[in-house]
Amino acid sequence: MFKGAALRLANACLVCLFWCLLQPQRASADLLNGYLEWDYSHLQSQTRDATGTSGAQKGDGLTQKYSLMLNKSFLPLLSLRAGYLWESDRNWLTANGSEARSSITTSLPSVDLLMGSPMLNASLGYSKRKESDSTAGTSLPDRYNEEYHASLGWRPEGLPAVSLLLTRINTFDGLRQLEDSSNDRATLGITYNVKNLDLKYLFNYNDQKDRLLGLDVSQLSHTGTASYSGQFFDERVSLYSTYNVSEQGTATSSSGRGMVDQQLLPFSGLAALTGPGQQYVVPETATLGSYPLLVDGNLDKSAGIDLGPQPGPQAKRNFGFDFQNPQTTVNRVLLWVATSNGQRLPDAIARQYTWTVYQSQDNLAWAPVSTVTGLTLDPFQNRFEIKFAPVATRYLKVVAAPLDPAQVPPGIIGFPPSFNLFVTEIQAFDEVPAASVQKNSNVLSQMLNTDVKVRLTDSPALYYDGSFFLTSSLPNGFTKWTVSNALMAEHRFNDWLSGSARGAREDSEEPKGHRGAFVYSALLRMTPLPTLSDTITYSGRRESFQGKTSGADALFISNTAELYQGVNLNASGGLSLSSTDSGARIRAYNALFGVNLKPRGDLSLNANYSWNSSLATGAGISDTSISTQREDIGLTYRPFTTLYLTSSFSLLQQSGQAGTTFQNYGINWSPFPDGTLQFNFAYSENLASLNQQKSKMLTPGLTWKITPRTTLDASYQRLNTSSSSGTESSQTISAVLRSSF
Amino acid sequence: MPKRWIPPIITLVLLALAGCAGPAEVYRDANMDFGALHTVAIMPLANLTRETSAAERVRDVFTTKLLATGALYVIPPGEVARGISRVGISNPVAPSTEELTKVAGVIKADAVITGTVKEYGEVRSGSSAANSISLSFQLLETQTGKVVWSASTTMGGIGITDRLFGGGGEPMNDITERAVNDAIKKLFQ
Amino acid sequence: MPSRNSFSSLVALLLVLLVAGCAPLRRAAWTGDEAGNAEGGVAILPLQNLSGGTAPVTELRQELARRLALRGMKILPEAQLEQFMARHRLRYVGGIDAATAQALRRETGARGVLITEVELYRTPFPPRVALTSRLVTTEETPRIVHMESVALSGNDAPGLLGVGLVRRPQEVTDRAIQLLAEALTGEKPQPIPRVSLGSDSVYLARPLEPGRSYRVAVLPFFDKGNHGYAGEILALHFIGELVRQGRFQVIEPGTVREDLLRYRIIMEDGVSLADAELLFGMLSTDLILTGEVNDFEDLQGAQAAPKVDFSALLLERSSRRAVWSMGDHRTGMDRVRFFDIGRIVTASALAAGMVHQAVEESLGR
Repeated sequence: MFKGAALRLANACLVCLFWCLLQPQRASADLLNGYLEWDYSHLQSQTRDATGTSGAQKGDGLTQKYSLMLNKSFLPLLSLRAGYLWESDRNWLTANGSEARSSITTSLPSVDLLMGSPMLNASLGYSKRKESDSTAGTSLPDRYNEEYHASLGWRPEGLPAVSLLLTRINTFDGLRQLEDSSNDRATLGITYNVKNLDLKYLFNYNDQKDRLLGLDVSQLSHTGTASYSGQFFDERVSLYSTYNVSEQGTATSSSGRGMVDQQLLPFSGLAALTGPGQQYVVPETATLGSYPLLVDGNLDKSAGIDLGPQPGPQAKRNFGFDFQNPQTTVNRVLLWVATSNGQRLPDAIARQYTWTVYQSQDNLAWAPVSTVTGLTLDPFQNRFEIKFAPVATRYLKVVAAPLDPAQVPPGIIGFPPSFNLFVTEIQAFDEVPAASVQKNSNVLSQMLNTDVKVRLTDSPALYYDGSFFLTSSLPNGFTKWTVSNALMAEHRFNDWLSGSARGAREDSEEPKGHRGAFVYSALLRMTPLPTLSDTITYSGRRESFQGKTSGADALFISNTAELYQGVNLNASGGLSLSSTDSGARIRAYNALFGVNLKPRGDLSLNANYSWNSSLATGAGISDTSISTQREDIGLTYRPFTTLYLTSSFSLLQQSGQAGTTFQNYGINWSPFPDGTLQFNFAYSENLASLNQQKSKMLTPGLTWKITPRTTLDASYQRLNTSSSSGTESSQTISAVLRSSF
Repeated sequence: MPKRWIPPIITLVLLALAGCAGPAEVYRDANMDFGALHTVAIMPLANLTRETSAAERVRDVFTTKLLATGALYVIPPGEVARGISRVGISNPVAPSTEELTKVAGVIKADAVITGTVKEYGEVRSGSSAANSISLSFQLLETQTGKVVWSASTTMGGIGITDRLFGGGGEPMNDITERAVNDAIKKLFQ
Repeated sequence: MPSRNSFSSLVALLLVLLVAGCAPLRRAAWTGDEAGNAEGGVAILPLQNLSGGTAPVTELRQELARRLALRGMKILPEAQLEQFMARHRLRYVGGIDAATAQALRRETGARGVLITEVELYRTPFPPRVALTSRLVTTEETPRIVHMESVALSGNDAPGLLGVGLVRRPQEVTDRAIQLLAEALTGEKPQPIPRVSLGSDSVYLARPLEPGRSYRVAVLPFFDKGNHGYAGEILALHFIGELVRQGRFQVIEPGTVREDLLRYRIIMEDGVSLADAELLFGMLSTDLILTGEVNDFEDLQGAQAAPKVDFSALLLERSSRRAVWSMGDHRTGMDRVRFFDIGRIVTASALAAGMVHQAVEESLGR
């Protein structure tokens, strides 16, 4: 009781302090800044299933955030940055007559001492995050995340630049019963640039201690990279080469209960879409293209793949890795995500996703490995952990589809049902029991990549493109090299006709044998009129490996025409034939036709038709034929600057299944766009013939800019969904007051 | 809602609406026989805007529209210019009573219209922009120089419709025509 | 089966025809000097450039003369005209006064003068050109017998896939001159674009007397915009429309100009009744038309719409009052509802449409 009173008193004091600070005349210039945020939401929802069973839910949520940040310069080259964040998240929920309440209180003090200039600088810092949970009046042990860090940077002119980063992170609960681990890291980087030569050295020390498991894994690595790029002989020859050598030593001491995590570094990230209207209809036969953003190491920045709820038929998102080594063992994937609203994805929504893992040796035929559902995010990190039985593969991918809005469970307080969920990063691991690994291991890996491009003739433009790629890993690793020799030609025959062609021989030596391939492609581009363009592309690959041959050929024709000003047409189509070394043959056809009409500036009409068909035969499996057709018509009308009307109709037909129709109607009105009081009204209706799904969403909202730094957002949302399996309706009122100084 | 709240609310709404009403924009001399006026001259208008041609443009539209009503004959601007030159009016946009009488005699006008262009061009509010015009006219009886009719009008700008639905894209010419028509309507009402 | 010889002859003939077809189109050989006896012909004055920019007036004149000659018009040789112009120190080519007209007839035998103005000449895409020509007799009192305007733009008719777009200025110019020549020789009069005026844009004090022919002097309009020559252009469009109506005898602007200069009549702010009185007497006219141009803009770009804003006033001699007036402003996109149907691409065409609509509905027969 005393504790509660003390908390309330502290809370009141904090509010008073902020109130004083928010007065403009009392703000102390640029040394002190901060913000407060009060977020209240109320939710009410009713559900009724097909059997007539009904349920009701009512909830309130109140979130308070207070942040203070002090920037103080003691000397020109010495400054202090100290901050404190206090956050309280309280929820009261009544579901079918039973009440529940929960709260999470977070406090995060941090302090950093910064010294030096851009040329020579150093910093010291400390932060401690404390989270206190309470559910139904019962307090759970507090969780702590404590971080010490120090850094040093030196960038002398004309000499190598040096950076050093030391970090210690302790993660534990108040009683040190559920978690008690620490992670010490030291990173030293040296970079040096001389003309066209880049030299880098990276030293990394990582020591992970799990005191509860009695596991201690320390890793020490040295990585050196040299890159060279240059052009010679009147820029006719260009050369790019990079060499990377890395030695990683791991020492493990364990009581035998823990798991050692070995992160796998992929050669490249991959992605593709599969589904009706896409180039690849099913994940089993999709060829994924390179997608570096997925493996760029940035855990916060969107890679552009959205898994948020979207109405209508949606293509499945395929994203994965190319490990190069066909015997790479994987048993765990971490999928990092970020929501568009910056909030953590609620568990109730996270559980709706279905994740399917596939493996492949050729990026043409994929075999399912595992399907998992009901996953939630890691308690401390915005990531899904997908575990499956270990597989040895060169390619690995995860397939998931964006949620249908009807799949988003109602009744989530403080989280909007409409959001984007961006994939930011994927990581693959080979997790093995600590007891099964060597106590000490040492891995030496090398990678050499060299590209040479020579312009042989100017007209027609003829190029030689050669590359050599070598990668090796010792001991118990592999050595692989790939040599590619290609001839490329480009020629413009006349004003409207141009073409290019490429033929290459690729040879690679892998642990399992020699792989040889002929790769060829040709492209013919015609623009008989500025408004008309046609492209014909042919590409193919013939590969032999371990005495077996495989191949793929594809022909694609694409045409665009601006028939008249405001009348645009596009038509494309193609076929692809591929065969795998296992004897499977896949034939795929697709055609796409689209019309875009823009009779006036405020009116736009789109109509698209697509047809996809694929047939897989051979390899001892029964013939599989899949064909889909999709028709879409969409209309957008903007009669006034602030009023936007949309309507769309889709018909999806898949072989062996009844056709499904989707209808969507929407209106958005945002009057007073420039005032301090802004209003927004949105209404949308989605109809799907499958299960007679119908959803209506009404969202009026208000934004009041009380002062330039104080804003109040209020919104109401009413969502009604019905289908043959039941009905759901929910109303949400939320208000957010933000103020900063 | 309790019924006792209704009368105060209605009173407040009425007061608010009354507050929104602008001042009367027309003056008509009750003793003037407007039917006796057949020929009027429109003097050059005073220009209080940054657009140098605003007054001439408005005068041109006003001349055409007033003539098009068929109710009054408007002396051509060239003849008015001759009258001004002949009498030697130093400031034609604000003639004295004496000058008025003289010029009316020269060009044979029953009455003279003077006016002011107070606003002409684009106005901005936040990121919204719209054309706006504000005019005032006076009809002066030539014998006494007395103002027998006065009206002002404002058109365009960023109104409630623009704020609700966007807009502000109406051309300046259209707004000028609407404002002039509004002024003429007030003359004949 | 044809014999071997006849087959080869056929092939040879086809080849000859093919080669002939591939040869560049040669213009029919014609020069002004080769026209021979020009007695009773037409003198084509050098073109007056009212476009506000540069225009190849010499080439345009030669091409117009060539086209007219091909259609049977007898043209006064250029050299003969140049000699006449030098002799009489004739520099103003936007009109002709009575004395010059008579001298021309007397000294060269020309029975008419073709006076042409370049209203618009732009070469960036879409290339645009607008020309106005009037044929004036060299009688004692010069009389306008025919007047035509043509305004073309490279994007007048884009057609399917934009095949109708014309990117080369030369093509647009050639086409405009061809159409002008056809119209002047009576083969194909130029259509006038349809423009809807505002309901209260035109004032008519009383209808003109039916069946009566009126003599009209059109004074240059006052250009209050930025064009520089819009006043002259608008006056030309009124002259053309009044001539087209048939009931008006429009006094040649060269004569009007000469009298204005001779009597030092300077109109700073429109025509006064005193000036009008003088002009009525000098020119023996029943009506005087004058006006103001506020906007006359041809904006550059394929999607740009022209803008025209003017007012006009018709003074009557008998009543000494304005009997007709009009004032309106239009853009080339006013009638467009879907795509570009109803679009007018040049200010010249838009002005011609506005003038036609105003005159036709109130002053026409």
